[in-house]
Amino acid sequence: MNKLKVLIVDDEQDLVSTLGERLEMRGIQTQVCTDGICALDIMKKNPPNVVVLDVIMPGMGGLEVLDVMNSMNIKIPVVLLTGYGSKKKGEEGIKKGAYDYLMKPMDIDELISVMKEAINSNDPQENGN
Amino acid sequence: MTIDKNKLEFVGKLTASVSHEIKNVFASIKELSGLMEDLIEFSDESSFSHKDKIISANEKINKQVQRGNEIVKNFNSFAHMFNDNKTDVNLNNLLDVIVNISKRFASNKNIQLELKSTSEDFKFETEPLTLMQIVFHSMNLFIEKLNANEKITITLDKIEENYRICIHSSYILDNSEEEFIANTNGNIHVTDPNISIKYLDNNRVEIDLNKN
Repeated sequence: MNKLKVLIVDDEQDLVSTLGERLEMRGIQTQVCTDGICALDIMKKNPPNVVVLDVIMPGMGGLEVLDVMNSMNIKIPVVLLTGYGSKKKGEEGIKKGAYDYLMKPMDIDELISVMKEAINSNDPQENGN
Repeated sequence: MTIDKNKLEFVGKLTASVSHEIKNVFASIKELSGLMEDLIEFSDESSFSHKDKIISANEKINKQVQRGNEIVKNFNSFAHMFNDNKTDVNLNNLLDVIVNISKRFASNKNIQLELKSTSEDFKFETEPLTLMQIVFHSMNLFIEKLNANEKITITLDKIEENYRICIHSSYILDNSEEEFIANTNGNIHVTDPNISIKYLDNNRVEIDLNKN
């Protein structure tokens, strides 16, 4: 399998930078950004294998990012991050094409496992599994 | 006492929003603590002179994050029930939230609250805040009167098509049913005709939720 490349999108700067650092320590190439517009820009210019996307962000939230991805035919698997009160939004996100959602605070091993599942579900051959 | 519906929704919305923000704080702390754990695990053994103490402190941070997260999770669920409109209420969730939030009141008096939950999802259309108030009021009656080391058990059962929440105390109180009902009606404005409350044997409150 090629080196896993993930884009993490969350408006919590400390969360994305720390999570990014932890994923890098596990050999996962990580890009981070703190808003939906920047995320779409990265998806177009340097597409990752998987996007980890927060549902609630100021400005463009995760569900709106999914809408834009659908309208622009961007086929990158998405794992959503939600809060306790946002379970419905996670389910709504799945209807919009997200692979799954995880509740914050999440466990890093679970996140990696769901990211890999999401990539495999998107294109099993490309990922060698 | 009646509370303006709009004010109630306003308080609920603000509370939910604040608890959501606190959850983000915990998520960041959890990642930072995880990073510390990783730095120790991925580094040369000799590079940390107080490795064991750092690991132990980090475990305590994680434990507190978990604790805080549970509290905020219950608080957030509670905030989402801040409305007096009839809605399809998940009774298991409602009891879980109100019992967990009330544990502090009980533990201050060394009283144990035990919720015997069911794995099956029981749903009932009612005003969630009113139902929570009734459960809280009933538990509180026992909490105020019981001695330390006594226990209050809360159960949820399906009886034919209806549901019954039972709050059972290990200690016999001296209130009569009339007193209990008068006190409940004085404190809570129970408008749902499908909810009936009984106070039995001076140690048990049964809240019957009848589907018409």
